[in-house]
Amino acid sequence: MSSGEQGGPPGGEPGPGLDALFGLAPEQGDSWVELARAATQPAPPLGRLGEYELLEELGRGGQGTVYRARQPLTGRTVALKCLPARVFASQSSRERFRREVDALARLAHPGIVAIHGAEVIENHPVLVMEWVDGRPIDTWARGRGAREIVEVLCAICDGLSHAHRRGVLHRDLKPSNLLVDRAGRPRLLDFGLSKLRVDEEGAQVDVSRTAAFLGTPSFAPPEQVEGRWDDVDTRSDVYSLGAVMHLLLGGAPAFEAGAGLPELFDRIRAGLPDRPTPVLARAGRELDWIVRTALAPEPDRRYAGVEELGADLRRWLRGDWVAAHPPSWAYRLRKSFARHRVLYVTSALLLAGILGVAITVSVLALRLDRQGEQLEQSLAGERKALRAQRAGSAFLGSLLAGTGSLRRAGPDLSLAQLLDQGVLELDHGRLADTPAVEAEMRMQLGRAYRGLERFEAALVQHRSAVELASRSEGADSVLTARALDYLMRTLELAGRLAEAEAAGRRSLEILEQRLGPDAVDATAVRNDLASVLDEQGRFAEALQLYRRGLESAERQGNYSATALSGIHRSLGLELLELGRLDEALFHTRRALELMPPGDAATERMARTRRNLGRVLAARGECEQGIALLRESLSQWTSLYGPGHCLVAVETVRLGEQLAAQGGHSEALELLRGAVATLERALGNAHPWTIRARCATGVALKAAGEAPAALEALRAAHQGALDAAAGNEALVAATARALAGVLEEAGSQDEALAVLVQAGARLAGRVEHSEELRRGTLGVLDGLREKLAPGALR
Amino acid sequence: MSHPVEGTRASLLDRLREGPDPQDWARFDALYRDLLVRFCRSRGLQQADAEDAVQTVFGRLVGVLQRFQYDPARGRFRDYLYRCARSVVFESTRRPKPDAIDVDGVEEPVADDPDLERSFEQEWVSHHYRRAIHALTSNLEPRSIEVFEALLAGGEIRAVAERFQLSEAAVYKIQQRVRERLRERIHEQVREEDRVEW
Repeated sequence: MSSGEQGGPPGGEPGPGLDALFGLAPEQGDSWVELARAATQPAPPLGRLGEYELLEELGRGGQGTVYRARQPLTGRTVALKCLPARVFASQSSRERFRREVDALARLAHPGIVAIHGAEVIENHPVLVMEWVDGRPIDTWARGRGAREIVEVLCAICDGLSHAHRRGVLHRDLKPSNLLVDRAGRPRLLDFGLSKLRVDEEGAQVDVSRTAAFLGTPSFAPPEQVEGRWDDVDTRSDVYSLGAVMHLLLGGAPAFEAGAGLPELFDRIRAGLPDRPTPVLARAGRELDWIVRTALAPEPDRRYAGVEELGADLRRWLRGDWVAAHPPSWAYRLRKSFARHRVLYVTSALLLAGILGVAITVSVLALRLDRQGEQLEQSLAGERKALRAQRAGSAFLGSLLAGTGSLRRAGPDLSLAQLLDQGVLELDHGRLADTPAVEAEMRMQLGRAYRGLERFEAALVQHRSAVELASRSEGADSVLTARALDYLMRTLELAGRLAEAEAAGRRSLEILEQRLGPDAVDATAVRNDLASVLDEQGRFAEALQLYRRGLESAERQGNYSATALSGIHRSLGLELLELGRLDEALFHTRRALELMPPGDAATERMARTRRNLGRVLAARGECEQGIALLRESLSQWTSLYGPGHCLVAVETVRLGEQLAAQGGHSEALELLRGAVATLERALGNAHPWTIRARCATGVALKAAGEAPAALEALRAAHQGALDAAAGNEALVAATARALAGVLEEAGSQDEALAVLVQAGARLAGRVEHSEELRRGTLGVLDGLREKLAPGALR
Repeated sequence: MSHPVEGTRASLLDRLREGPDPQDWARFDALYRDLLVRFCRSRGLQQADAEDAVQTVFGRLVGVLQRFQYDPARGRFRDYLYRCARSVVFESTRRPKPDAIDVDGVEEPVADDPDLERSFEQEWVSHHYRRAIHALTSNLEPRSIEVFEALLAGGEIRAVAERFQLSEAAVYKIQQRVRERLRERIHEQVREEDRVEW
């Protein structure tokens, strides 16, 4: 029974009487608007507090009331925090209060609201603080994208880290304590005040009364909710920040305070459900993992500190792999090795070429050890991951230390020998206990072989990695997908395009399913796959995949500038191939704009310049185009050295362009050099060698050297016919060029035979590609008609 | 007679009465402190005194709620809050230090003052409007809220319509939608407030 049903004084039961009181009765028109307006007016003028003129009440909560105030002596505006009276039972507690405040006042960081000092005015302890014209972060975050919010969260981590390093915990992080000023800079408020509160009130007897001043529990970690103050440490602040992130990124609190409090506490203790909440799923899986790691109920499973949390958020911003992950140790392992990859390859190269064994090993071992320690700290309890990482580290360490026969090779040891030794050790079961680590090692070995143009050796390692990953993590695991991605890239370089495509499609399928279709990693594989399609001449399909990547990037908002630039560059390339030159120019320019300054000397830059050169040349801006191609070529040369197959491929592009512009002698010189390099590096049967021969043949024809042209094109066409499946575009291109030369030379029958043979070869593959069907077969049909009308019917 | 409880969840005041969880007090504090401080200020108390007066009222409630037996004659919770506040305001205008008030002073007879009661009622209405407006953000489109805020800031319907590039009819419709939401919400809040069984 409730009193509301008893009638009683005016206002009464919810209903007409209540409506009248609130101006909501039908006959009262819009008078409710007036009442609502009056309700939202600020409180009446505030008067003074000690020497301070109170200007405005900013907020009121468990810790007292905050005012914006003016100090008449100095004229400065400050924020006054007026703590509840009677907090001080004794003179000693008052002194302790001052000491604590002094400690807080020593925090000096642009992300922390400064405390100028403390006074006791009219028996109220009053904190005098810097005045910040800002909004609580939850208000600020409304309608903003994840990226912008995460940037601000990183800055908050920096401020918190400053305080933690000075031994001050916040202990009461919540949106109202995180202001964002007009310039978008976050400021942390009320540092350590809850400690003052707890210390002071710890002596009080009336628990319920004490607790009347405690804030909302929605942002408090279990150890705080349960009052285990001894367990409160930096990770408690990590948790609270995680709860704030949940609210900001997901739009709802992690744990709703609306439920009964015992229920709420139970939920806080139990932590988030294992599956992504619909709320966080919206923010993307990696952010979901980060928030989950921060919000782990057990402090040991959280980030070890705000620095680690901040570092992971920054990784997300860069589009790198994040350390947070649902509890799969192998994933963390992969992240760790992903970070080592550059180090490993660089070290190995240094080792082989310049410095010898000792230095590299010590540097590498040091880095790995440090990494191991960090990992141990931040992922305590994940012993398995650590052991696995150590296994990998030990393997690399001993390999690079040059055990056994390698030691005798001394400083003349080649990278290839080193890699062979690594394979040998793996084959002898060196990492048999940790198949995921072995898979990781083999991926890297394969990649290194690929860099040395030893594709067969690389493929053995990649296939073995796929097999190991499937066995240890599952055929649908992310590790398997990564191994397949590596395999695809090597198969592509080896010219085995159909196999490459199959591996890439499988990898993409896994990643889309496991990480979501818009995940950065899925986009990366999709781009690699598109490149394979491009090699096959399936430009429209490749274009579609790149467009898909661009859409993902727009949806996710966390792709790095480099990644975005890469997508635009590739889009531009496909559009160029499709003859859509204006669009190609737009995307290629965009790629160049997006490229971070640090990328100036990278392969990415070389690619982008080369593409722009090709687009400009195709648009008739030949001089500028050729100049860019030259620049790009010299960059490739400085990256890989003059004898490298990639440099030769770029040389072919420049040669083709020069030949088309009439620069025959230079073109021929470049092309002949490139053919020689490719024959040596990749063999006669490699599609790039064939393409280079074909380009040489075309250039020879343009230079009027028909017999030599014929010879080069015959060789190229035969090579194309012998090449692996997936190279049909090359068959079409060489057939067209050869038939043209034969026709001019009067050998119409042979020209026809070439085209018939090519047509038969292509017929089985045309379903894959609209371009092949329309373009290639169209041309072939045309030629056929011209040469011998009705001959095939 | 049963009352419309949402699920099995007891009301905040019930919980406070039956065995308060520390966080219940925090919620109670967040709900009523502002109302009482504003009321005290409207009666001429300085800010700091108003804060202390409210602290006194809360202090009383801690003890009183747990002792109280159901008594329909006492009326609704807001009437009880009003009586507390009235006695505290009355005393603090007489005595220099509100701290000195006897904790059981709520029973002390205080003369009825229609003006004081109206003033409390106004604050109580405003209090529920503020809560209801605050709650709007969770169940209204951000744009509707912006439109409503513009109306609250004194904007005429026509001016607001122009600013948001809406028709006047659309703005009016938003206003009516907000009215309905606020009405539902206020009813709910008052029901919740009165659910405690004194």
